Amino acid sequence: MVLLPVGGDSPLILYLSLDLYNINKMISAKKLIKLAQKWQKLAALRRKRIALPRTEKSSRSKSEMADKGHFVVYSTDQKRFLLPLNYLNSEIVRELLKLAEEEFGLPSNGPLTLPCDAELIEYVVGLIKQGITRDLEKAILVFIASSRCSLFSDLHHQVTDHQLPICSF
Amino acid sequence: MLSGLMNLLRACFRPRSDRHVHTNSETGGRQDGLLWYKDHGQHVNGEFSMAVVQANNLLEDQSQLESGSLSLHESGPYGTFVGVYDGHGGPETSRYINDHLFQHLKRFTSEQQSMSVEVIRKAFQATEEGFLSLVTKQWPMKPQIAAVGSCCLVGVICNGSLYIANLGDSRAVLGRAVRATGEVLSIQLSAEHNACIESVRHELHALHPDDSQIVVLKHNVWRVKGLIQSSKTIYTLKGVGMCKWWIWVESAGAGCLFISGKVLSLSSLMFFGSVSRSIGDVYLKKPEFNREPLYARFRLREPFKNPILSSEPSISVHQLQAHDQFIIFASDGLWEHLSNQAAVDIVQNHPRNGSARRLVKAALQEAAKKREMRYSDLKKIDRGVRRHFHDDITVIVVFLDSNLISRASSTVKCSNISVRGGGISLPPAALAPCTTPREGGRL
Repeated sequence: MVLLPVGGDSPLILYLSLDLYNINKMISAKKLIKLAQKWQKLAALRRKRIALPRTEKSSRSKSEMADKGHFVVYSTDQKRFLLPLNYLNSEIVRELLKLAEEEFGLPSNGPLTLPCDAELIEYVVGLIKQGITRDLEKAILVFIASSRCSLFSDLHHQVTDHQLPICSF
Repeated sequence: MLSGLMNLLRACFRPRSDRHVHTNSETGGRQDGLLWYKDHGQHVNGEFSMAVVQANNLLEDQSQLESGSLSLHESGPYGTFVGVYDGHGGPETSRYINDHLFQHLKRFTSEQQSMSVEVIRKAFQATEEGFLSLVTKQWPMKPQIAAVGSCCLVGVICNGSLYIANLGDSRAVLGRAVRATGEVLSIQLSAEHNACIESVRHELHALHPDDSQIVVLKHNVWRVKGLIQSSKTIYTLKGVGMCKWWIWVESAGAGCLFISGKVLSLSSLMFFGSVSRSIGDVYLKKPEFNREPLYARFRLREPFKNPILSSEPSISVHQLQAHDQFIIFASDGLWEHLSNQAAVDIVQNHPRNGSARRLVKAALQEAAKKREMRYSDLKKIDRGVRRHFHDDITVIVVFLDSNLISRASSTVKCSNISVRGGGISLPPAALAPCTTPREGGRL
């Protein structure tokens, strides 16, 4: 099975998808760690960005109503995603929502923001669209979980020991 | 037997939309998907309307309306008791309050032979102590119960007086008619526990004279620069401002800021946030529960001597007047979407029947708008994942009939009424935190 990234011109997505392809074939601890590190790097970048005072709705167009049967999420780089309601049944989307809650709290006055870049949301959307395999879903959930662990660690973010629960596969 | 078969067939072919609608015989309320409601009921001082919409996998809001004798004796005093309990970290505390607070209140009313501020204070205290002993008992097996708490809003109408007791961020709002204009004004009755915020803000501003943005008001929440609210998480930030480090701990609206370093002494410990008082949250009140086996992520890193949270309610007494029309009791799930006046206007401008349900609907429409989606789609989202779109919402509208209120309480004879706000109870097998049944929810 070859996973074609959505908007495949991005080297990051290509890298991730190739990596996941390999994981899918033969789940290697090394690859998992590599991928987790990628995610953690993104998480660290994101933290930096969030710490800066945000210019409200800088790149957001005036909020518009979602199409029927859809909900809206934003990426940390303020890209708007219109997703079908049944995506809320996806474990990955649910996990990202939980992570968003831990990161941003539950916003009482605005739209939902997922704690990842547009690229990663596109990637996840692509996977769900193509019908993700159970193993791959598991692998991604592990990455999200490891990214969460890094959020809880002290701010020094010196994650020296990547102990991923690889045994669960 | 044939009729039984017919019933079975009827049940099978019933249209999907009303599959979850049924009358709850215990409370007289109706459940429609994630919405529970009792559009109309009668209490000793007038009418009432109740509605609850569930967003969490397990409903954390609990509520009750009790009317009739407020003591253990038939002789009264008579009146109406309303309770809205907005739990956080789990449903255990709010459920405990729902089962015990009113019983304690009745006991103390009997002892004192009248209703008073003291009776209510004692009932709160007994409930807090009762929950503490429950936590102590369950602690070895279920340590996370130390991190469960609840806001607690109580209203008691008795002998022409209205008592309001509050811990946390639920709110009671009175609708009072202005004779000259015919308008109905909103008057907030419950106290907000944000006095601490002021002192923390001043202190932070004093510490950071060059940084006017150190504490900012955003979405009606005071935030410290660089810190983002979160539930049940602990962040440490290094090198922010002049402080060596600080920690922000928050649990569903309750927040603590710990500042340490050169600027403040190590033992400096401050609390601020909208919920500075609660029942439960034992780990923030008793240092002996801020340790293993409670999960590290719940624990505070800095030891503390004095309780961070208080369980002392703010209690006020109001003499009800002839032009006092109704009181809206609601958890913050409603108030984060509707202003006091908007809520009062909705109640005033529509029939009494279904008032509470109408307020819930208005709040959900507002929540859908904020999430940039349609209300009809919001209603399709299952409980559990629904919490990302709105909070549990409980509303009780108590209408005041001036004739019934002015009448001496001893002459009002009626049977006791007891209504509990409903929700979906899960079968034990489905209690795992991540399982959300697909069939769960239609509002």
